[in-house]
Amino acid sequence: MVNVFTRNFLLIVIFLMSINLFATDPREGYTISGFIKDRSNGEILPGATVFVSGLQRGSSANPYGFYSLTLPSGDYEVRYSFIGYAELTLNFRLSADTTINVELFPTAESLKEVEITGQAVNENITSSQMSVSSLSSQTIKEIPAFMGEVDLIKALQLLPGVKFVAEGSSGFSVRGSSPDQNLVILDEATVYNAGHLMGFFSVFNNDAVKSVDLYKGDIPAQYGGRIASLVDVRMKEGNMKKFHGQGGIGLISSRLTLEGPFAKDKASFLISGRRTYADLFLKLSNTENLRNSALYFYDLNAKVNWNINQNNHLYLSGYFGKDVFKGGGSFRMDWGNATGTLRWNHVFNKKLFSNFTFIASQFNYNLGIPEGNQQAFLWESAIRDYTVRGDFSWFANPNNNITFGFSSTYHDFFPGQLQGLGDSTTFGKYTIPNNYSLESAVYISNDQKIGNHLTLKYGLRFSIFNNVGPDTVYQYSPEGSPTDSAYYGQGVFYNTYFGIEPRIGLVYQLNEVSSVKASYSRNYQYIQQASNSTAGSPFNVWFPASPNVKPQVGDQVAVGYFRNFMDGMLETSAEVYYKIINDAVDFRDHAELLLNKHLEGEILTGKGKGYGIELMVRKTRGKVTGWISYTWARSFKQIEGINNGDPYPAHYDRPNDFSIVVNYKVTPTISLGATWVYLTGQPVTFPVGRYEYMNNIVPVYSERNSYRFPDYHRLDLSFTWTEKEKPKKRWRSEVNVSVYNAYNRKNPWVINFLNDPDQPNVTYAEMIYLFGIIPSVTYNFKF
Amino acid sequence: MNRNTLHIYNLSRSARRSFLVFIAAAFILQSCTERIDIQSDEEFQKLAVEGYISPDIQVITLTETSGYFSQQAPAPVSEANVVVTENDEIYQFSEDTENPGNYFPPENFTIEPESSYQLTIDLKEEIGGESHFESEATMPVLSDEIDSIRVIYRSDFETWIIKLYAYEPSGPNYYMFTAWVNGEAVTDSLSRIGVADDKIVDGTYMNGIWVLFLKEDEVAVEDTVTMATSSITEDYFRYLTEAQTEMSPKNPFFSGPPANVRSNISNGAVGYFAVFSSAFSTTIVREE
Repeated sequence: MVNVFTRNFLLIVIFLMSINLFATDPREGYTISGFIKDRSNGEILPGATVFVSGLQRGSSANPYGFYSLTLPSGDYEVRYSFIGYAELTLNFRLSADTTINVELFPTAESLKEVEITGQAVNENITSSQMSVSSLSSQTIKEIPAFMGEVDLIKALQLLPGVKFVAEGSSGFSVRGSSPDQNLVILDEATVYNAGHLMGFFSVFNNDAVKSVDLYKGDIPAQYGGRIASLVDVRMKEGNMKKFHGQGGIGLISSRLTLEGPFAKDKASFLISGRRTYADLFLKLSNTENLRNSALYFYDLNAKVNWNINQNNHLYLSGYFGKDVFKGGGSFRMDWGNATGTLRWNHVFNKKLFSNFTFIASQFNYNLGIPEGNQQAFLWESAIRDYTVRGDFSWFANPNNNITFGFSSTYHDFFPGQLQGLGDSTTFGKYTIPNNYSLESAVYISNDQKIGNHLTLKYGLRFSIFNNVGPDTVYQYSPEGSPTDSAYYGQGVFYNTYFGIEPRIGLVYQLNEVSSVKASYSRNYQYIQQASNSTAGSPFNVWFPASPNVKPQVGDQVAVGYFRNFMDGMLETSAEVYYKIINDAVDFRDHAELLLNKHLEGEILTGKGKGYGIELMVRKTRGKVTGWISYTWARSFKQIEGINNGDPYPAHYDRPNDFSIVVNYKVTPTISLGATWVYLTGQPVTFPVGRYEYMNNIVPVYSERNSYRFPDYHRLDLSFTWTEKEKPKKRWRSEVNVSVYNAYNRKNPWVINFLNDPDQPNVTYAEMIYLFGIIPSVTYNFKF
Repeated sequence: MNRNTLHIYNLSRSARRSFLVFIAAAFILQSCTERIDIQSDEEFQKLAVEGYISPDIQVITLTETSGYFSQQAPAPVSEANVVVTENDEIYQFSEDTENPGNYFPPENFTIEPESSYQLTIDLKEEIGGESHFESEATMPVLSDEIDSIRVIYRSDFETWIIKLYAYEPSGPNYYMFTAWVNGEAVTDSLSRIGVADDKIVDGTYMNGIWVLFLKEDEVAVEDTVTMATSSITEDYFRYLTEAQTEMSPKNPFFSGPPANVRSNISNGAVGYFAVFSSAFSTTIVREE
């Protein structure tokens, strides 16, 4: 039935596109096109809108700030606008194809120069994309931060449908799915592990980040490979106008970002670094062991951006981050991500924009005992990805925006190797060989306006996944023991899966300020994490689909109502979704996931499902900004071999989720922030019985996840003082004081069931909570 | 982390502990613990079996499971009919009247290496709706050729470590380690025994590998330390590691979800009927 459906869908897509694109005479008008940028720093403004008054037609800039609009010849008033920027209106006579590059003024800094029209940007109403949330780096910065470290991922966790996986963790679950079902990309490069310091901080340095978009399930056809969400993080390009710096000194880390033009409006750079220094205090310790210890992370973002000419742009960006932990001379571990992205934007003509991207991404970890020790060993693991992709935007006519393209990623997974070091080692060597795979896709998607009220978005992604030799593939008994194996030589494509992934959406605009949207999307996920951790750990491996492991397939339908009030100052939304996951992955009880040649024998697959309602009110302008969101959602799994094959609540099933995020600008120099979150306690398995074995008490458990932790709630506060802008003074200071967990709520991180060491028959439950009330101070500066 | 890899398991445990200490130090905060009340309301009963057949010990102990917070010693199961069969020889075990619930073999019971043993239990009264239980286990080949052991003190771990010098035969093998100091058992509980597979030492000479950890105050110089290296089945190895995991505190970074420990007894009983043999080595602790 599914095949019939997808085949029919394919036919419909081809049919719709053909009648639309070729029915209109391409010479019926002229095209205005160009780039929309920020006046103050030359940064492109993806999503900025172009609207033709009178005609009631518009378009928006693509992710590279390029827009194109074809109109009959005539006199026009064209309005360019974007949230946080003053609207720009141009009047002109269109009598030939015209290039218009515009630069918009950020509102905060342009009060004197341009009158703000107050015209709302109802992009959230008109866009055919649903289940999406965007945050700018400024919004993220205004949220009270844990330990003063402004954190993009923590900000996302406050959005409806998004939940942290554990207190303080930068792992997150979207609509009840597991964290490895989120595709996190930084300038299009996959970030496999978004956490520093066991996940308490994310790898994204907010000073280098321009914006983040979160797509919950309804992922644009351009992307795929994960079934729950896409987190698209874009780095700033670097100031094209003037040299500029910013930084901060916090309790645990310091940051410095420098950016500026190599040549004004032609080429720019950005370099941003951050390092924690809490470990420096260890040097003051009395214990030698502690003095020889280290615990820190650093990261470095760099980007170069070159406008070769009107039709060609080059971007080169990279991220490099590392965590290091050294326990005296006896133990060492480190892990980190490295990514590199080279992008070439090429404008073929007024209507056809292209972007070609080459990406390399790596995540690796090492741990062990350093050489010189009899027990010296090294345990290594790594993931490497090489991607090439081409993305095209074809602004066919005012009613059809077509995107299409291809991508191909070569995955090189090195699950791990453990070996002794030095001559005196007592260890041999245990290696899990690398596995290789190729994940490719082609896609096409059209955004089609039908009349003044209806916009359809229909797209199709065709993905194909190949396992590539050399590899030894085992067969497993139902109990998971290897029974037989087959070897495939180098370069042999020994297994192939493919997926037809429709992405459909529609928006019906009821009036200027309200709309109804609906969407259906299917996503295939071919690689996943072997992780049993409930808090996220860097020591996990990823494994691909294979003859033993089918790809996970997620289907989601969502319906929403969107309404703006007060000239777009207040955005409200209500969304309902239902999703099912086929071949959802889980692991056998007591699975051994690391350094296991027979990992695939530990895997069990079944079904997952989730449904929920997400409500949000967001205020985007004025003295008080922020949002209130409430989510009611459930998420279940049913897997043969777990919980007797009965359905059980997924680990991320937290029915009630409430967030309030408020920022109050008291005066131009003082602002206050507050965040309150409330979540149903996480589902857990508790012991209900016990017996004795070898003089210890062994627990007997309840059904999987049939109990819950106490509910989670927490209040964070912040106070920010920003120095007044003075015309002659470049240096501007800012002081931020924040308090995490202001009323000192003890939220359990784990509840352990223990045997009293002094009373052999006494057992008790003990909770560990991580963070009490934590104040912090950060000094920030700009120049 | 990998729980099966000889002492890395123990090492990583201490590393994890010190790692969390470091995090705490670095953040100028402490993760705090607090006892809390949990309502565990499910009532169920099962038979719990702890059975050993080895040249050194033969006993089958039967008890009843209790509620997790029952805070009582387990109730023994008396007057059961306990039978062990080996190679068609039937041995009727009899309950020790002084220690109810403990069943011992008859005098003519002999241990045959590599033999298979069947256990049958018939209860006088049903527990959890069942009265008949069965199990079977085979004694593995005693596989190590042990040269010696040595006991050293590591001040950084504040622990005595027993190092093993032995040939490890190739092919998968599983071990349990237990120790005595001056004849007194020191690792007589599940949490203290050492359990290992041979994944990273398979077929090699183990030149002083760390296999067992003793507390600072349990050993002194000049003490006589004896260690038993028992060859166990893969299934028993998994039972022991699972039980050790489930009775230890969980750490959300590394621990998987709680899951019941396996059992090799039929009809829903918990516990294990273990059959193994052991090699003993002794050393005297010397000043380093």
